[in-house]
Amino acid sequence: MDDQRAVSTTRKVVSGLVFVALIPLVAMAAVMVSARMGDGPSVVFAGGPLVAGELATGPEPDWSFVRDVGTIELQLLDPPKSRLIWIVEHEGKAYVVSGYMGSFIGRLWKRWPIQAERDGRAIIRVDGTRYARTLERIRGGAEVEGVTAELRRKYGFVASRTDIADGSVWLFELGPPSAEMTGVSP
Amino acid sequence: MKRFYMVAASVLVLVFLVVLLVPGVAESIEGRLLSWLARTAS
Repeated sequence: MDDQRAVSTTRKVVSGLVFVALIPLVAMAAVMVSARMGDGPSVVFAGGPLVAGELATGPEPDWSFVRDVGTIELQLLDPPKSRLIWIVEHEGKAYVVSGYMGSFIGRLWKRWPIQAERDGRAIIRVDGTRYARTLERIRGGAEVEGVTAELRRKYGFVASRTDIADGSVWLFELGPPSAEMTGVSP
Repeated sequence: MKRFYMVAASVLVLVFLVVLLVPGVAESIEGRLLSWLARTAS
């Protein structure tokens, strides 16, 4: 009888502890869902498609204005999720970067670079204005030195030409939109 | 015990809906999470 009571009490205590532990987990899951449904990312969680903001058209802009921009919102067309990322400018072109790509956890955590390599069509939003772009992965070339220098200057992010060549850091140029950019709402 | 599980499940669903639907709650939680992450990282 005492054993049964002890088991019952233990079960109640464990159930209570599990319930208490589940509350913050459920709350966090709701925050993630809320972020995913919103226009653009939050600081911590990926967001939904970038809808608000004028869609820039016309000639290719000079991206030097992003030298003073800390983060931008980047949304791939497939899948249409958005996130905050760094951006640098070099010789009038814009670049984005993803570190930690050399580790298993990094690749698990950072899916957007792999998705971008597969389909580089994207929308970025900078200071409220959206730009249709195509992400093209850069593994080498003359611009790497300048881009990595700018990353170091702007963010203190250290990446070498070797890091980019061997894939531990993925670098993308934000090139002009491809001719068949569909799925972009004006 | 069965009643406890039903109440617990109802509370969890309520928490989920409040965070999802009440304006500002999700942002507040995320702000606290960010602060905690920053403290842990430093």
